[in-house]
Amino acid sequence: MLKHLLLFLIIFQSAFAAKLSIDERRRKIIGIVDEELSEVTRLSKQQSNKVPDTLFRMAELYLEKARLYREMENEQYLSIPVDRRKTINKNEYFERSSKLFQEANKAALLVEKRFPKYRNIGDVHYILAYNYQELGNKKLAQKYFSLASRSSKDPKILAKSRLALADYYYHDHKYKEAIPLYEASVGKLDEKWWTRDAFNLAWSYYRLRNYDKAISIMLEVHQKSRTGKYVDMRSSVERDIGIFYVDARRMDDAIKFYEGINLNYTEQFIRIANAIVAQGRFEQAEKLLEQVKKTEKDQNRINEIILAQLNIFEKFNRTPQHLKASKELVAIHKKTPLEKSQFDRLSFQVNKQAAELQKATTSKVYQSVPKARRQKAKEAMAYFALAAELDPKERPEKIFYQAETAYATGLYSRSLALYVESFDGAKAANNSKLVNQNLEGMLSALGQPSLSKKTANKFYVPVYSRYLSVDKKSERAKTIYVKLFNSQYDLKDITAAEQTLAEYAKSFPRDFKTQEAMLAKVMEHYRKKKDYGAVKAYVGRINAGEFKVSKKYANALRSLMTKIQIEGVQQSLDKGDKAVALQGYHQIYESPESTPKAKTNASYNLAALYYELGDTQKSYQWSTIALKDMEVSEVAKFSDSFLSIAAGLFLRQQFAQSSDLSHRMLAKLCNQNSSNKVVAYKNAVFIALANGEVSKAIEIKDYGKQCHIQDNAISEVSFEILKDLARERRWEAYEKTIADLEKNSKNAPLLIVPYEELRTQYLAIGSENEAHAVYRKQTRFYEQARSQKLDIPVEALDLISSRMLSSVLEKKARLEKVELKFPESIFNSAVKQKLQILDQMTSDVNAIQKTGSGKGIVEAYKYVIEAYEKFGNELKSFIPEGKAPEYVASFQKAMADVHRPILENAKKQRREIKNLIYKNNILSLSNYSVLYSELESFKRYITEKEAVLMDRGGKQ
Amino acid sequence: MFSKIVLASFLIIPTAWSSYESAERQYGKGSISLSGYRRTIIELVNSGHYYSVVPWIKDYIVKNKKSLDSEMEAALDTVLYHTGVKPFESLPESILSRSRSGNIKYILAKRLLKKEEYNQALKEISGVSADHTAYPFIAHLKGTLYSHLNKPEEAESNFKECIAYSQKRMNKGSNAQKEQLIINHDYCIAGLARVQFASKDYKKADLTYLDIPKESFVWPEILFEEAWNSYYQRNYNRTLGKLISYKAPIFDFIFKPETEVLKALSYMKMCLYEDANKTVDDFYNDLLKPSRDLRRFLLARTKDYRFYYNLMADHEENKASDQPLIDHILKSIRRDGAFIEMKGALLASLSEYNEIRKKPKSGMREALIKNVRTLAEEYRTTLGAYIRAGMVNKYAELYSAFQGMSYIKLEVLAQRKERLYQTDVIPGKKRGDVKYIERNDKQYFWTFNGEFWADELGDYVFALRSEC
Repeated sequence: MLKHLLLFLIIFQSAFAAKLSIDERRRKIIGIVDEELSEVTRLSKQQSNKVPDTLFRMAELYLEKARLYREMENEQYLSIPVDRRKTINKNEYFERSSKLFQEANKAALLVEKRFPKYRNIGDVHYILAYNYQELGNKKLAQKYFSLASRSSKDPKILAKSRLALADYYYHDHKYKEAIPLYEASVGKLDEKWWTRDAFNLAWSYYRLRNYDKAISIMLEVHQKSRTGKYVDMRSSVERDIGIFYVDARRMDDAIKFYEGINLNYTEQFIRIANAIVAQGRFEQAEKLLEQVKKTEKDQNRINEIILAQLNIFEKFNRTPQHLKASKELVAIHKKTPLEKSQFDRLSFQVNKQAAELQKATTSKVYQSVPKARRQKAKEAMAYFALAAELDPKERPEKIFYQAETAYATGLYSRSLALYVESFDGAKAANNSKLVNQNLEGMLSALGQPSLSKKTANKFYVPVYSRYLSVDKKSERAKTIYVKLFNSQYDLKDITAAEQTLAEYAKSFPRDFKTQEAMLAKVMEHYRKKKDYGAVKAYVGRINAGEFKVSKKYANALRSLMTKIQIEGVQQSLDKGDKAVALQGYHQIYESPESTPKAKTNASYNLAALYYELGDTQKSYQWSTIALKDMEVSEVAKFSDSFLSIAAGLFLRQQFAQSSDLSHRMLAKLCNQNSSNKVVAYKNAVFIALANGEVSKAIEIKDYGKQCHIQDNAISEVSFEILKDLARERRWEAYEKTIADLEKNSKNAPLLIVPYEELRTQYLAIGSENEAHAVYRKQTRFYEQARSQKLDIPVEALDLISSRMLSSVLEKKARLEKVELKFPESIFNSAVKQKLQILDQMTSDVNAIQKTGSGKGIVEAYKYVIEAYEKFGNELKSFIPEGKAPEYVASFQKAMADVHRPILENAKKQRREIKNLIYKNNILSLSNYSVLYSELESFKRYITEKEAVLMDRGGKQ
Repeated sequence: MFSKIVLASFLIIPTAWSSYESAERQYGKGSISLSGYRRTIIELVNSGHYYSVVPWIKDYIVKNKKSLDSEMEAALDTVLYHTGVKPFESLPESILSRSRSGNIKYILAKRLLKKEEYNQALKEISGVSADHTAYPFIAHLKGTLYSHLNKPEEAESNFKECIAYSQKRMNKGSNAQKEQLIINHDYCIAGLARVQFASKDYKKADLTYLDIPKESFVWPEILFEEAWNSYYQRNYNRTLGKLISYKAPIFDFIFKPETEVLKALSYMKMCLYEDANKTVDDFYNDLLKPSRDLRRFLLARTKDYRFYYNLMADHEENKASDQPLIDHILKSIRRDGAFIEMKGALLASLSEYNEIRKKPKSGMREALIKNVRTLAEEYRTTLGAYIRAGMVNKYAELYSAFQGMSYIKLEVLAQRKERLYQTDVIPGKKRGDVKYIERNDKQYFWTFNGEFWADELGDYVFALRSEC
């Protein structure tokens, strides 16, 4: 052991020393290069950078230093562990050498720029080319190699440049350009490299389809490689010459060649195919294998060829070809089993393809290309099918994968069939894991919304029944039972559904909700079929406890029974057979088996039917029964019908019944928020009033408050009641009602006229104080309404304006009392006084006009116009007594200036009131007085009492 | 490396004698015709007035459309002997080409050499016979031209002729003439060695260089060439040894940046990188700033030649400059052959000026005084231009040396680096050893004891082991 250790140490140390020595020597060299650079720089400076040799030398030195550093950097870089190397910035490790390459470039470029005819310019170009190559700038490297290959005088540099350039062309696929360069430089640099360069030359010829030349050179390369004097390129030649021969259609020569060197040509061709596949030359590889397959007779080798084909098809993703070849080989295997290694490779290929294609179908890449995705899925399934053939034991599993692939691609129908098949296989093989996986898959597939209903229907039962064959009690089984039940029900397989229901009841006896739902469906089925016996049988089974149901469901069952009972009658009604319907409803109502609901329903329908038949009395009778038995909500629901019946009763003068029905409705709907409640309320009041039952009306009105009838509706009926109370002179009730109404300030303008009724009564009984109080109240209400801009009834306006007219009349009377007479001073005073009164009257008219009462306005105008005209004419016709005619003439002339404007004003007022009448459509008894002058009195006819105006007739 | 080939001026023997008075007589008669002019010139030259007559000779050459007659030619040769060729180099080529004078043709050929018209230059001087007094110099020039034309055999032949003719004639003339011929002789040996060097026959060149005696005027600069020659023979220890000689105080006037470059290069070749680096760094440390200052100095003064003349005058009077580098360069220029010749001519012209002033006043005297003043002024300007050119050249050498140093350093670094890329073996150090010294037939071995003796200059050698 110690001896070994010592040996190791010695070896290690010497290796270390060697390493050190290389480093040390390199550093010494770099030290010398630095000295050289320093000297060259000094020299060049001295020469003012005008000597190209010196600059060229500088470039060479930088290049040398760069290469040395690059070597060191390479070693350093390669000494870093691979993992770490991936994470670091490579450029940082080569920074120093890169800078030096650039310095070399700078110097060389300076020479090129300043001394384009420099005798060593070719060498300068070579340095530039080399530098650019090192710096990774292929374009410039190529450019300068090209220049160097033309301009260098140094045969070695010439050859190097040409070879480098040829390699560039070769790699750029410019074989035509590469060939002359290879030919000119092959073997020039170093004889032993002839084979390597000639090899590239051969390839160039091959690329240009000069196959014979290419083969000839290859053979020479092969020949020379044997001698040991040259770089041995034999393996490359043996690898590539096959494809040359193939492309040259010289397969026989290829076979001869390989046989000549004792190589099995099929193996060679397979090897060549694999090798060129690695170079990405799929087409050639494929062609090659196809050719060799044709010539090969040995089945085992044919199998190898197919396996090689599979290999290249796989590498180049030629799935259709791969699948075809796989199928071929699987068929061969089934006929004559393959060797184990061949079988393993085939199995690997098939399973790998299947797995990869399946993965591809689920990848995001193909999500947006459904067509391609579906294609991949189909191929994957085909591979799984092949895999199943290769390994029958794994068949359920492979089919499961097929199903999964189909599922992933959205081929749910296909997947369901496959899941079912795989499930059955797995179950037979007791593979519980696969059984469960299949169940999951098929349930999921079945739940896909895109699955057609038809397909789903087809698979519900097979899937659910398979599931329940495995799991009966789980939560999931619970839902599956329901789904199965529903499917069976939908497929109208009621017997199966009833069986599922029975199974469910056994597995989940306490889940009465689900049982109820299932029962409901079953019973509904029988009900529809009018198989009431079956329904009743189920009811019996429920009652016997075979099925557990809730109380609610029990009610529902009863409802169902009602429905069954009503149903027949309803059908008669739908057909228009009202008599049969009436009979049916009467039977339901009277039958002891009928449920209360059915009875109520029957009573309502009887009311409606009798109403339609015009039998108001019976309609009213059944309505009262129905209203009594019906739920409030039902009354609200059918309130329109009840209102219609009440209206029908009213129209047929059945006021008491109509009012009663409305009242009953109101009582029923009292606490309901229904619009028909108000209608019923108003109807009840108005019909009572119409029937002269004021007290009942008042009673209903007051009841409205309890039922939260809105104030405006109560006010509306109150104002109607007021009218009947006045008519019946029930002043106490009147006062009370009006007092109630007064509580709402909005009613104020509406109360002005009713109050006038009361005031008149106060005056009639001598209660002047009360009357006066009412008067003030009316005035206040009016002013209040005006200030609040509330609507005031026209009657109220007329009332207020008529009160204001009394002032006008009083002034008019005063005006007429003032007499015109002489002497002059009295006359003047009288005129003055009259003019003042006229002025006051005009103010009063303006005030009345503001009330908006048409009647009042016309009346007021009438009085004022009369006053003006009368005064004007009085002045016009006045003749002072006892005066000389001259005086009289002078007086009248002077008076003309007074009476003319007065009469003009009267005319003007006539025009004004005329406009007002027409514009505001005022209808007033005084219209005639103001619209027509005395001269037009003939237009007015006063007829005999009771006379009526006849229609004039006309052109018709 | 052999960037500069110095062509020394030469002395030409006078052929006639006349008198000042005779000249004045001719001048006094007021004859200003071309023929009268000619006579005056000849008489003045004959009377030893070589400088004051120069403007008239140049004028005569320009105006006289024909070739010079023999008497006039002889007079011109005499003048050139004393003044040197400089005053005549400014004449247009069209004028110079009219002359049949060997001396004028020599001047013209030099002009053409500068213009790199080597064949045309050869053509101009090819007709000058070997008998001509200027022939050793013409042979020298021809050797140089053939070298430029990359005709080593012809070049070598001409340099050998130059050596032979210079040798042959150096005992015949005056001392001054002899000295010129000795210098010409030594330069031609150097030329021969250079041709051999250029033909990569380094060993032969080595031996040829050793033929130049240490006492020769040209030897100090040849030492550097020898160092290069050794370098090319990869005898770096010898190179370093040659170069170390420049450190001797006797050579303090030499300012040659390239020596340091070669030194660094040699160290590098022996893979003694630290030594090479140190040489480079020392060079940069010592000279980078001074060289920048020098550049600024030169740019600031542009072509103010009188300034440079005065600068040298101050230097000669031992007035130190602010910049030691400038003093060093000036010291180097002072020892330059061409500078010495021009300076001598200037002094001679001034001497002649003083002589003329002593003559009785006359129209000719006044004219001659004016002439000699003009010439002296020309000399000063030329000297100033030469000094500036020398400084500019030194700056250029420095600039080039800095680059060279940088390249060496880069090469050193590249080699060190290459070693690291390939191997990490570092050899043990042991620097000096006699066994690393290589010798040839003409070199003897002295024990290296670290001492320097003037007569040992150029013979030092290093004994460093290469670390490559």
